[in-house]
Amino acid sequence: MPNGLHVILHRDGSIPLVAVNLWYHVGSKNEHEGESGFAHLFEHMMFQGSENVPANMHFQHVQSAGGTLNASTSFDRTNYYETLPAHQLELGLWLEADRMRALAVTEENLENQRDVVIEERRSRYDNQPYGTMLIELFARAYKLQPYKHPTIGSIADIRAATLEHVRAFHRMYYQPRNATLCLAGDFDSNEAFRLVDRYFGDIVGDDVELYRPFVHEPPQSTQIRDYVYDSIPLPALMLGMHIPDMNHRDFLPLDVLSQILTSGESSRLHRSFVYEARVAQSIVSYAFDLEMPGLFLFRLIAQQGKSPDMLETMLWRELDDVRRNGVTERELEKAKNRMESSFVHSITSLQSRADMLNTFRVLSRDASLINRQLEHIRAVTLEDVQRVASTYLTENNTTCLYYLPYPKHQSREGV
Amino acid sequence: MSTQHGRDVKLPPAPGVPKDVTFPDYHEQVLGNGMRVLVHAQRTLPLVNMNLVFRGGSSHDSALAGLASMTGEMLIKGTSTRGAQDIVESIEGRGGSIGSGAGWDSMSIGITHLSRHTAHAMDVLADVARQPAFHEEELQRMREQRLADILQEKSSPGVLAWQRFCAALYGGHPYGVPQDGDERSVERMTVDDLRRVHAERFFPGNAFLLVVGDADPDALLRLAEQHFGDWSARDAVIGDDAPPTAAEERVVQVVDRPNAVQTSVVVGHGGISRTSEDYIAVSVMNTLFGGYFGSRLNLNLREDKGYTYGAHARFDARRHAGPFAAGAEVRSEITDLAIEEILREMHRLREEPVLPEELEHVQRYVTGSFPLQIETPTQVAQRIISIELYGLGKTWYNRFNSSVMALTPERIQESAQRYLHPDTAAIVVSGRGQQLRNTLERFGAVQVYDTDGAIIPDVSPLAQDL
Repeated sequence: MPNGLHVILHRDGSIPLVAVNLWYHVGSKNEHEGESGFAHLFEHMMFQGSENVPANMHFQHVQSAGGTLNASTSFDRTNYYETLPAHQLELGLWLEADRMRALAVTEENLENQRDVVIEERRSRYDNQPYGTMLIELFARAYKLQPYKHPTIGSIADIRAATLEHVRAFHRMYYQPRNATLCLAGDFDSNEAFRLVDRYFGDIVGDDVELYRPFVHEPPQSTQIRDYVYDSIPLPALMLGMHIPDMNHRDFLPLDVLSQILTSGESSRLHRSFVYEARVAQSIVSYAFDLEMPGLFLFRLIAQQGKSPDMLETMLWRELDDVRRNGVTERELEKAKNRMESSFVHSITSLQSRADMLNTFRVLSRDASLINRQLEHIRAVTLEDVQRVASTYLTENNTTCLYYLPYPKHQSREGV
Repeated sequence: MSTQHGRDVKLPPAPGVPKDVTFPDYHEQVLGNGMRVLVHAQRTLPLVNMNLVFRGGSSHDSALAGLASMTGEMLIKGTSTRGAQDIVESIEGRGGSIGSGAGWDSMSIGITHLSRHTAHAMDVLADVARQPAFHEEELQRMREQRLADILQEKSSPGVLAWQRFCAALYGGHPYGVPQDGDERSVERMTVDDLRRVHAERFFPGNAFLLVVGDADPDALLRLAEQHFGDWSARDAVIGDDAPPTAAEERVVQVVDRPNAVQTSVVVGHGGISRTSEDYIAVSVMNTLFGGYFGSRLNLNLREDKGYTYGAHARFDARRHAGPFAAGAEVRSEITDLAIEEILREMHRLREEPVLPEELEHVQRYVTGSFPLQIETPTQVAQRIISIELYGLGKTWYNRFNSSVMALTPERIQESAQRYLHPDTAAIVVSGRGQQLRNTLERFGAVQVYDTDGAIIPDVSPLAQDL
């Protein structure tokens, strides 16, 4: 649209529903030092009232129309979404346009949501066994990149946020040229475009330069190691290796490699650690798909009586085998089949289809990549997999964290 | 703001015309041996979801906690012709997934796969249902996994509070014991126990095969006939499980987690059966009370007070009345205030009729979001399983919306009076034991437990004086 709002329409009339999925290209990586958690706190504030929608009425409007809704914040983006009965499309557009145009929040709302977010941090991270592992790992793996601070933020930074700050954040990032709106479902395209124009067409953004950090993290040359005590019954091991960003040609092979190693009970490492040697209660890996260079993660929880250093020794032996000998044709084929089927699963719901279109558009700059995703997965070769394993899954490129149960005499502290 | 486009943006736009939604119909056929085959074809994506369901679940575990779920999980860990790894490899290798286990009222095996592999999936399904091997070596693996899982659960604040709550309510009845068993029962389980459960429950007349997704009903029936047709019929029915009795007096229990930075709160009592005539009224009453974001509980505890990231309530409806529980994870210092608010909201719903507008909001939410509940094959399958398992009748979901719309403020109040009991509700929390022992005393005598379930005596100076 002329004001810079990017619009994607995807029609599917098989069930009378419509998904409204609006992305703002801002996440916790846009936060400065001392502002951690702000993008996410702001996401909460988007439900606290706008010009024509009083606090909490956003939920009320959507739910009493028979819709569901939510929002989420990640390192790279913030999304807002509603799934509505098809005849309520206009309501969704009105609500999103109103809070893009003019937020109306108060000191009191901010205080309340600050408390809610602090409890959110405790519920999801601090008070959960192993809940802080990712936070602790990212904090050590990165020296410069803003990924080093977590999206949820620190409690001190959350307490320090001000209303003025909330307003400035809205002015800078919540404007049409930083947003992409995807509609998926049962509608007429011309009518949908007309409605989008009607509600969003006259929103004019500030002419400010968006703060988009792009920081080059210097290559890691020696291994980083540390340990953390937690209220956990079984020790755990977490590794993170630096890998390129999600649009780099090595990313998909890394994703395939992760599938081969730990996806499903028949995967290589699940079989060796959990089924055969029985040294781990669980093992997962993940190639973290980020706009700037991310991490390849492993998390293993030890079986009773097994130690993290034993798991680590065995893991390096397994990775060494992959680096030297690669993986088998059968393993590669299986991983591709699983990725194909999980892709098909993830498009069974309109909302996840809309979100995927936005992912490709905002983070990879091209929504139509969704149609070539399977082809790109199919094109990954045995050589690709071995090459990325040798390049990235190396000792020196690794941050290694042991999670250990509190020693017995300490565990009663603070009673 | 006003409008270069000549419109009024101050008020929400009027909705368009709603389209009719009906619950998907499904074909039903019965094999010669009594096994039923149900198919709902949904041919938009090349996916198939198959579930083979047997009546009788964890609620029959009165002799050995966790037996149904262990038997269920072990079904796919080897048959007379396939090893555990062969089974999972053959399904996952084709891009599918396989799982098995037990619910309160059933045991089941589920396979999701791309439709070009339906014949293979059916072959595996029949094999694991009919010829599971229950090898000792595989059982030992599962025991170790379970024991580690049980240990893990002892560090999870939500699980600790929930398990103690169930024990407080139902004692030794299976509803009061973890579905996956405890250390002792898991250690004790033998392959003979598993074989006995299989022999009792796994026969054609006690089963139905449900297929949802990209499948042709006739072809599917032929395939089912080929793999299950020669399974001998048996003239038997599964015996009834003993109904639970929920405690009806106030107890206040704390599970001590010395390093907790929050308290997990559960407040509740016995609830409702899935087959009850009051089920719809009670679930709408609960939605209004604590079942969606705009519920009274969440607006009060989260949006008004900022005590929690989210507060909710649920009636867990099973064949017999399962628990009703309201809960939240709250800031430690205000645990007592949060509990007070939960009880206050329960009282309010009993004592005052809801406003017609508030009820209407909930009715529109529940009926309007119905298409969202049947969007994916998995969701449709879950609902058909409920219809079959609880004998609701094929038209149950088609009557659902009109039953919801017919509810009145009086009917909601009546349901609250009958199904919410703030004065006798059990109050169970996990968090910092010593602190909570003192602050929760106003609700009744406080009992503190460690994470292994042993009582921690009160050793504060005050208690010694008394």
